[in-house]
Amino acid sequence: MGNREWGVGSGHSTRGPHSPPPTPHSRFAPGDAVRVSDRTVVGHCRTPWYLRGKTGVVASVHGTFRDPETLAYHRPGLPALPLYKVRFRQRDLWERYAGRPGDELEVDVYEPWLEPTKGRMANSE
Amino acid sequence: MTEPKRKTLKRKGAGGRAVHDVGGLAMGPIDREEHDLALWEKRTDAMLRLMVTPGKRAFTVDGMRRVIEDYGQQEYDRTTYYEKWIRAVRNLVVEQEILTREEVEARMAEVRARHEEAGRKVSKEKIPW
Repeated sequence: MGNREWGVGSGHSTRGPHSPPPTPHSRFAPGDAVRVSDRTVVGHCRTPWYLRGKTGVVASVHGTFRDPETLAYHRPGLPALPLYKVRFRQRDLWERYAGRPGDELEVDVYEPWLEPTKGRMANSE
Repeated sequence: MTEPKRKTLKRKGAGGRAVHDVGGLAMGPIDREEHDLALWEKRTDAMLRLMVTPGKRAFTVDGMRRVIEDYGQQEYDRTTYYEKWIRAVRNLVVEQEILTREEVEARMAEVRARHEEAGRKVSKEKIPW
């Protein structure tokens, strides 16, 4: 949770030469705007409620990991899923957020929970 | 200080959240105090680590989380951290057919009797399955 300037120098809108290569078969790359799926689930999932329906930006791709939603039921968790570090603005997550405007939150989110959003973040200035 | 007993908290505006998923709800200040661990809590921690070791893989940490998240709200709120763990370990060992429920209960009764015989105070409380 820092107060870094939003989008400065991190190559958000383009996949610049300094971005790490995306994991093969991952749907999103660093800089992509993504929306967290606004769905409910029955059973185990690792996507917190407060993120559902919120828009952020892919900060990095961690790699692929077995799916916790099926691992939790004694299944092998395959196919493994790309896991992303997604960066959100705190003020997009919380009504009446009282912290600094540039405050961010980074959360690890599995690919099936992410949807593409057109172009830049819908709610960016 | 050991971890204090919890009471059931209202989840205002919780919608369709699971019982553990309380981020952003008004639930009072966070207890940031470090707690001393009892011997049984350390053993519970060790037991979990052994059960999920590759090669043993009796179950996964994800499975344990699932069991804990399935507790009713009252049970979730009133139990401490390692109370949640040990109940989940017990239930998973039965779910995975490593032990039967009867075996676990018989052993619990045996341990209880042994402690009572030694004049130790034994809680009458039974942990729900």
